[in-house]
Amino acid sequence: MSSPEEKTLILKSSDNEEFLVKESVAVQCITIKNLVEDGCDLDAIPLLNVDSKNLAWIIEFMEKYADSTSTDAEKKDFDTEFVKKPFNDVLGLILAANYLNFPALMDVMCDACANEMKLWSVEQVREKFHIQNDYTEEEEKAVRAENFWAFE
Amino acid sequence: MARKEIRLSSHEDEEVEIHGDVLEVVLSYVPLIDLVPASNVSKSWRSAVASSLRHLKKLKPWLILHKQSTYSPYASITYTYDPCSNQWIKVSMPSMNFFSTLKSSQSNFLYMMSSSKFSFSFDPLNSTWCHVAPPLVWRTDPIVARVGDSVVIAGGVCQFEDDPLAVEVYDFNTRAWCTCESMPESLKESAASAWLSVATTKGKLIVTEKKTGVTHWFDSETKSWSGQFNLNPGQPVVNYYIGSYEEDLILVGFCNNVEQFKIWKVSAENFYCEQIGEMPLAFVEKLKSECFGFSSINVLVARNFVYMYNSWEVEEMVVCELTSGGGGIGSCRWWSVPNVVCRDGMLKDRLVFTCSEVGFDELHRVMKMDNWKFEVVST
Repeated sequence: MSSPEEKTLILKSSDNEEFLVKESVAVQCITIKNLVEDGCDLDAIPLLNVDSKNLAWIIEFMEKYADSTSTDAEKKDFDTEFVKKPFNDVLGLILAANYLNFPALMDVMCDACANEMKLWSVEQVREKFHIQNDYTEEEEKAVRAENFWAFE
Repeated sequence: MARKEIRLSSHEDEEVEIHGDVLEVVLSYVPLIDLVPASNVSKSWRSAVASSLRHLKKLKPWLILHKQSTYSPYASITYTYDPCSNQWIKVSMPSMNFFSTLKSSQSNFLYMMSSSKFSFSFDPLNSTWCHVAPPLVWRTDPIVARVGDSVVIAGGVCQFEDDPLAVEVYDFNTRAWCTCESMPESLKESAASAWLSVATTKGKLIVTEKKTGVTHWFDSETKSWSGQFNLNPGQPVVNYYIGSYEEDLILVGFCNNVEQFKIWKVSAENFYCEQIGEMPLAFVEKLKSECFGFSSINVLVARNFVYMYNSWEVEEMVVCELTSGGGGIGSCRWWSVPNVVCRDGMLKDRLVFTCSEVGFDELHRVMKMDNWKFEVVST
């Protein structure tokens, strides 16, 4: 018994690395799904805002989630390990998941990000998110007085 | 999905920054208690938090637990449960003069009563208390509820008083009590919080006998009673609990033929009942008391949330979130929450539960108050 030919897509990262992914797996990214449905006939799909480091991770995640044999418990264990990355990379994956419109990955990464934030003071949040504090000195004083405990 | 700013990350060391829409999505995953410090990170984060709350985050009512000593000075500790983050939070507040035990007969209303004072609070975190003269008639277990601009107190009168059905209303505008039309005669045997389930909607106080479903309502404008109406969910219900749900009512009923709790949406106009869900059996088990079965279940309703517990053995609470689907009828999501107070704690103290919608502004305001502290209870 022969199974129908499963279409494979070539995804090209912003740094020109090519990745082979089954179409049924790749369409978890709605951006890619729309391209396929619109009849994209390019040899490779260029993903201008995703580098090879992030794309490799995203494909790992996609393949786990497309696998019908993995149970919910297995997916949860996978998620727990998957999010154990330097925080800068967590943010990078959030941006990539947003660009590719990949809801499942966005959900897992945002959840992980929110979990990390819980333990941080305001200053740590600024540092980890690379945020410029745009309060004036007086405003900063007032804000600090409000929530002194969050600045420890 | 519109994207305001995206940064490329082509080098290992390049800092990734999150802004605009993406930031709002990330913030929608952050529990309310952590959004308050998040709003202090920078001006752009402050507006991102506000925008995220407006567009993305649906706030869910918190369950509030007051654990109070049964002896004077009735010291109390407060815990809150946030269903968004599934966390218990211990709330420390300036010590208050608790001159009596805390009580509640309506989901978001807390009160204390002595022979010389009547105090009540209905803001979400009970940070503000009003202290007024007590009602004329001494009551031990009345229905007390806020309806519009007034507090209605009904029944709960000692056996030997003249009128067991006495009703008094405290008007916020006149700051005085007035005696109103007594409760209907048919409620003579059940005119107490133990026997009546209460809900308020559209300026009306609705009371339903827990055993029979017989319902009456009190109009706070005309200060008069109407009814009776017998709730008819179309199934053999032995315990009726009502709550306010949007402009109508929710009925939680226990059907003893199948030993199951079911939920109906009840029209406040004609009391027509429409079933919208039933509790999975695994959760029904959690509400069963070893000695007393299902005889003293308490039900709290706020917005689209139903919190249920057995007041004899509050080891676990069962929570139901009603989600609206197409055509107004949706589905129910059920889960259970272990009580943050352990069994030993329950034996020596009283537990009083309320539930209310705690908003960001409210939480922010209270967190700024002196001596208020919120600590997440680690599990």
